Amino acid sequence: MDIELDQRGRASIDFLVCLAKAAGAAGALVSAEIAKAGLNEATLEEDLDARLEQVETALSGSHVLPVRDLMSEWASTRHGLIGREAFEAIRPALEPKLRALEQGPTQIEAMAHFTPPEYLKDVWIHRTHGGWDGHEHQGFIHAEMIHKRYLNAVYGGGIFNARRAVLDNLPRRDYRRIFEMGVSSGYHTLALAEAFPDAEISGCDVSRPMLEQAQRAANALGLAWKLYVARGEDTRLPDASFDLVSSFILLHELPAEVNVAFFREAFRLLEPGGSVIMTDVPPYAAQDKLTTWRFDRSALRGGEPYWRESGLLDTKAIAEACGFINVRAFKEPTGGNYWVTLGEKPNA
Amino acid sequence: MNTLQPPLLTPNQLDNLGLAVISLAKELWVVKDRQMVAEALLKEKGLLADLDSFQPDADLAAKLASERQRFMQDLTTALWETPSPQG
Repeated sequence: MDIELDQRGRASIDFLVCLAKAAGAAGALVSAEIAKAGLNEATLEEDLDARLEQVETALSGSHVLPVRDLMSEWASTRHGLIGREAFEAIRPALEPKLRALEQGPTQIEAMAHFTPPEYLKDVWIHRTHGGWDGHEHQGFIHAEMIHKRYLNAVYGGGIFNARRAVLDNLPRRDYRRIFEMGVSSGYHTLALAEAFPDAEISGCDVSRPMLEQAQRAANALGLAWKLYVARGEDTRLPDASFDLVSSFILLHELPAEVNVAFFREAFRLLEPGGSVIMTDVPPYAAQDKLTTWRFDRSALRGGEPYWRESGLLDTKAIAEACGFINVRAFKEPTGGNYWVTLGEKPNA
Repeated sequence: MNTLQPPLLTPNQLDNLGLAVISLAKELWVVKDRQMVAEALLKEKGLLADLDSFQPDADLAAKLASERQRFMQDLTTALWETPSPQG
């Protein structure tokens, strides 16, 4: 959807992008200080907590690290409020268009058994003010204000391309019934629809405001998706309903045991011969110690309560334990910081 | 004689002070952006010379008062707020 922000909303998001990029630049200075302190792959501690303490001690005199932390703290705790404010400024003109896009071939069904997961209770994902359900239009705010105008600008514009690029790793091009776990505002769902235009597409999420934004994205293109308010680990949809199950940047938001449950549910939902593709951030084991320290430390500051425990998982082993065969786990080759886990359900 | 002496802020308010400074910087940027937009518009219409002598009417004065109140609220909230859920 093409929208125009008012001057305050536009300038506020411009500032936010500018600040986040400055924090990134400060991060490079911090890395240089770490190197100067003699900390590297060989000398950094193996144990994560010991490594945190080791680096904090080495940088105790740094003037850059506290300011970088301050900038990150401001950006992470304010971005949701800025997005919300930018939305409210144009809400009167926008709301009729949003409501109109909720009419169309894509519908949302709330599964009767659904209850919000305890593991996300009181969690404000990414420290978004109020959390995913904190505003009736949080899906729109996240998709248009935060994702498209903030994150995409900070990360160089490639975050949408990655959602489509990972699908080129799949072994088949003839999927007919696709299910996405954790639809969010529908950006990966759009990529699935683009890659497999003849397939029936379904998906679930625990946040209705997010699904409403996905619904608008689909209806704007005349696409007929079936969206369910349901947990990915317990959809209650029939066995063997799909030939492809996918998720994108979802697993790290989930506790370790729920990660396992997602793969188990994907196996149940797939017909024999079907494929699973789960894309997320790389596990700790696939990254160097300094990168791991940076992300681990950031996650501990809030907004990513399950980052470490999910990052320590071996998704290939989990997929194989759930029954998948021909499992591969690898860094997405076309760029970005994405980890792809692929597998197939054996033919009966 | 008992007196109340500085420091006025407690050590754990230093982080809030830093966050408030960034909030101020954001507000300042919004204003600078608006100023540049306004000046471009005025220049386009040949009205730039009137900027210094312009007197706000009642409507604009009320809008400015409302914005000023929001500006102050953002600043003070940043200074005294307690941390949000860490999730």
